[in-house]
Amino acid sequence: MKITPKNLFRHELLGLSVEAHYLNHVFWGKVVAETRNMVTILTDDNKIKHLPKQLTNFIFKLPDGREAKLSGLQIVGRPYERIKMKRLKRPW
Amino acid sequence: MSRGRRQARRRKLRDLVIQRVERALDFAFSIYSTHPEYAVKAVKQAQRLAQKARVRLPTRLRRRFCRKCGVPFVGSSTFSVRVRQNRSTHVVLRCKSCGFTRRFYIRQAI
Repeated sequence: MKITPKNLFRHELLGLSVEAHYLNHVFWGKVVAETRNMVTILTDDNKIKHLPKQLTNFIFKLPDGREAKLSGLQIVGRPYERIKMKRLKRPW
Repeated sequence: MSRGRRQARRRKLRDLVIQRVERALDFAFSIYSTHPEYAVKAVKQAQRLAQKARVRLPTRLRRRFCRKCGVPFVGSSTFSVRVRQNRSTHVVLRCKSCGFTRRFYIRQAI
Protein backbone atom coordinates (compact mmCIF):
# COMPACT_ATOMS: atom_id res chain seq x y z
CA MET A 1 0.00 0.00 0.00
CA LYS A 2 1.80 3.10 -1.23
CA ILE A 3 1.69 6.30 0.76
CA THR A 4 -1.07 8.58 -0.56
CA PRO A 5 -3.01 11.52 0.91
CA LYS A 6 -5.90 9.13 1.53
CA ASN A 7 -4.04 6.58 3.66
CA LEU A 8 -1.53 8.99 5.21
CA PHE A 9 -3.19 8.88 8.63
CA ARG A 10 -2.46 5.14 8.72
CA HIS A 11 1.03 5.42 7.25
CA GLU A 12 4.49 6.32 8.53
CA LEU A 13 5.10 9.98 9.30
CA LEU A 14 8.83 9.73 10.11
CA GLY A 15 10.98 11.57 7.61
CA LEU A 16 8.18 13.45 5.85
CA SER A 17 8.71 17.15 5.37
CA VAL A 18 5.93 19.08 6.99
CA GLU A 19 4.43 22.52 7.49
CA ALA A 20 2.82 22.62 10.93
CA HIS A 21 0.30 25.27 11.94
CA TYR A 22 0.18 25.42 15.72
CA LEU A 23 -1.89 28.26 17.25
CA ASN A 24 -0.49 31.32 15.48
CA HIS A 25 2.88 29.78 14.66
CA VAL A 26 4.04 27.97 11.54
CA PHE A 27 6.95 25.54 11.59
CA TRP A 28 8.65 24.05 8.54
CA GLY A 29 10.76 20.95 8.94
CA LYS A 30 10.89 17.18 9.10
CA VAL A 31 9.12 14.74 11.40
CA VAL A 32 11.74 12.94 13.53
CA ALA A 33 9.68 11.29 16.28
CA GLU A 34 6.14 10.61 17.27
CA THR A 35 4.29 9.64 20.45
CA ARG A 36 0.60 9.24 21.16
CA ASN A 37 -0.12 12.94 21.54
CA MET A 38 3.01 14.66 20.26
CA VAL A 39 4.91 15.09 17.03
CA THR A 40 8.58 16.08 17.16
CA ILE A 41 9.78 18.24 14.31
CA LEU A 42 13.36 19.10 13.37
CA THR A 43 12.84 22.55 11.88
CA ASP A 44 14.77 23.91 8.94
CA ASP A 45 16.86 26.14 11.25
CA ASN A 46 17.91 23.00 13.19
CA LYS A 47 15.71 23.32 16.26
CA ILE A 48 13.66 20.56 17.88
CA LYS A 49 9.97 21.37 18.36
CA HIS A 50 7.46 19.20 20.20
CA LEU A 51 3.91 19.92 19.03
CA PRO A 52 0.66 18.45 20.38
CA LYS A 53 -1.23 16.60 17.65
CA GLN A 54 -4.66 17.70 18.79
CA LEU A 55 -3.98 21.42 18.41
CA THR A 56 -1.95 21.36 15.20
CA ASN A 57 -2.87 21.25 11.53
CA PHE A 58 -0.33 19.63 9.25
CA ILE A 59 0.47 19.93 5.58
CA PHE A 60 2.68 16.94 4.72
CA LYS A 61 4.75 16.73 1.56
CA LEU A 62 4.71 13.16 0.27
CA PRO A 63 7.73 11.56 -1.46
CA ASP A 64 5.98 11.72 -4.85
CA GLY A 65 5.59 15.50 -4.52
CA ARG A 66 1.93 15.65 -3.60
CA GLU A 67 0.76 17.61 -0.60
CA ALA A 68 -1.68 16.33 2.00
CA LYS A 69 -3.54 18.46 4.50
CA LEU A 70 -4.32 16.67 7.72
CA SER A 71 -5.85 17.78 10.97
CA GLY A 72 -3.85 16.60 13.94
CA LEU A 73 -6.99 14.99 15.38
CA GLN A 74 -6.81 12.31 12.70
CA ILE A 75 -3.37 11.11 13.77
CA VAL A 76 -3.85 10.99 17.53
CA GLY A 77 -2.63 7.56 18.61
CA ARG A 78 0.56 5.59 18.97
CA PRO A 79 2.36 4.74 15.72
CA TYR A 80 1.36 1.08 15.97
CA GLU A 81 -2.23 1.88 16.91
CA ARG A 82 -2.75 3.91 13.78
CA ILE A 83 -2.41 0.96 11.36
CA LYS A 84 -5.94 -0.24 12.10
CA MET A 85 -7.56 3.13 12.66
CA LYS A 86 -10.57 4.35 10.72
CA ARG A 87 -10.82 7.72 9.08
CA LEU A 88 -12.67 10.31 11.13
CA LYS A 89 -15.83 11.51 9.40
CA ARG A 90 -15.76 14.92 11.01
CA PRO A 91 -12.12 15.67 11.75
CA TRP A 92 -12.82 18.97 13.50
CA MET B 1 -16.16 -12.97 7.73
CA SER B 2 -15.19 -15.65 5.25
CA ARG B 3 -11.69 -17.08 5.24
CA GLY B 4 -10.84 -15.51 1.90
CA ARG B 5 -11.79 -12.03 3.02
CA ARG B 6 -9.89 -12.46 6.29
CA GLN B 7 -6.78 -13.50 4.39
CA ALA B 8 -7.15 -10.59 1.96
CA ARG B 9 -7.38 -8.15 4.87
CA ARG B 10 -4.32 -9.76 6.48
CA ARG B 11 -2.33 -9.45 3.24
CA LYS B 12 -3.24 -5.76 2.99
CA LEU B 13 -2.14 -5.15 6.59
CA ARG B 14 1.14 -6.98 6.01
CA ASP B 15 1.83 -4.87 2.93
CA LEU B 16 1.16 -1.66 4.86
CA VAL B 17 3.35 -2.69 7.80
CA ILE B 18 6.30 -3.65 5.60
CA GLN B 19 6.11 -0.34 3.74
CA ARG B 20 5.97 1.57 7.00
CA VAL B 21 8.96 -0.32 8.40
CA GLU B 22 10.88 0.37 5.19
CA ARG B 23 10.15 4.07 5.41
CA ALA B 24 11.08 4.22 9.11
CA LEU B 25 14.37 2.40 8.47
CA ASP B 26 15.23 4.66 5.51
CA PHE B 27 14.64 7.63 7.78
CA ALA B 28 16.82 6.08 10.51
CA PHE B 29 19.66 5.55 8.02
CA SER B 30 19.46 9.13 6.75
CA ILE B 31 19.48 10.77 10.19
CA TYR B 32 21.97 8.48 12.01
CA SER B 33 25.02 10.65 11.28
CA THR B 34 23.52 13.82 12.77
CA HIS B 35 20.96 12.63 15.36
CA PRO B 36 21.70 9.00 16.33
CA GLU B 37 19.18 9.04 19.21
CA TYR B 38 16.28 9.68 16.83
CA ALA B 39 17.58 6.96 14.48
CA VAL B 40 17.51 4.38 17.30
CA LYS B 41 14.02 5.53 18.27
CA ALA B 42 12.81 5.10 14.70
CA VAL B 43 14.23 1.55 14.50
CA LYS B 44 12.60 0.59 17.79
CA GLN B 45 9.30 2.06 16.62
CA ALA B 46 9.50 0.00 13.43
CA GLN B 47 10.26 -3.18 15.41
CA ARG B 48 7.32 -2.53 17.71
CA LEU B 49 5.02 -1.89 14.75
CA ALA B 50 5.80 -5.28 13.25
CA GLN B 51 5.37 -6.96 16.64
CA LYS B 52 1.98 -5.37 17.28
CA ALA B 53 0.69 -6.25 13.82
CA ARG B 54 2.12 -9.80 14.13
CA VAL B 55 4.04 -9.47 10.90
CA ARG B 56 7.38 -11.22 10.41
CA LEU B 57 9.67 -8.90 8.52
CA PRO B 58 11.45 -10.13 5.39
CA THR B 59 15.16 -10.99 5.83
CA ARG B 60 16.38 -7.93 3.94
CA LEU B 61 14.76 -5.71 6.62
CA ARG B 62 15.62 -7.85 9.64
CA ARG B 63 19.36 -7.70 8.90
CA ARG B 64 19.50 -3.93 8.59
CA PHE B 65 19.66 -3.12 12.31
CA CYS B 66 20.78 -4.55 15.66
CA ARG B 67 17.85 -6.44 17.12
CA LYS B 68 19.12 -5.86 20.65
CA CYS B 69 19.96 -2.14 20.86
CA GLY B 70 18.27 -0.85 17.70
CA VAL B 71 21.27 0.81 16.04
CA PRO B 72 20.89 0.86 12.24
CA PHE B 73 23.79 -0.82 10.46
CA VAL B 74 25.20 2.15 8.55
CA GLY B 75 28.67 1.70 7.08
CA SER B 76 31.43 -0.32 8.70
CA SER B 77 31.65 1.85 11.83
CA THR B 78 28.50 0.32 13.34
CA PHE B 79 28.94 -3.39 12.61
CA SER B 80 31.46 -6.00 11.54
CA VAL B 81 31.05 -9.12 9.43
CA ARG B 82 33.48 -12.05 9.59
CA VAL B 83 33.54 -15.52 8.16
CA ARG B 84 34.93 -18.08 10.62
CA GLN B 85 36.00 -21.65 10.07
CA ASN B 86 36.77 -22.81 13.62
CA ARG B 87 33.57 -24.77 14.23
CA SER B 88 31.44 -25.43 11.23
CA THR B 89 31.69 -22.53 8.80
CA HIS B 90 29.66 -19.51 9.89
CA VAL B 91 29.26 -15.77 9.33
CA VAL B 92 29.49 -13.55 12.41
CA LEU B 93 27.59 -10.26 12.46
CA ARG B 94 28.57 -8.07 15.40
CA CYS B 95 27.05 -4.76 16.50
CA LYS B 96 29.85 -2.37 17.47
CA SER B 97 27.75 -0.24 19.82
CA CYS B 98 26.43 -2.97 22.15
CA GLY B 99 28.55 -5.99 21.18
CA PHE B 100 25.61 -8.23 20.37
CA THR B 101 26.67 -11.09 18.11
CA ARG B 102 24.63 -13.12 15.68
CA ARG B 103 25.93 -16.22 13.94
CA PHE B 104 24.65 -17.57 10.66
CA TYR B 105 25.73 -21.15 10.11
CA ILE B 106 26.29 -22.24 6.56
CA ARG B 107 24.96 -25.62 5.53
CA GLN B 108 27.47 -27.75 3.67
CA ALA B 109 26.45 -28.92 0.24
CA ILE B 110 26.18 -32.69 0.19
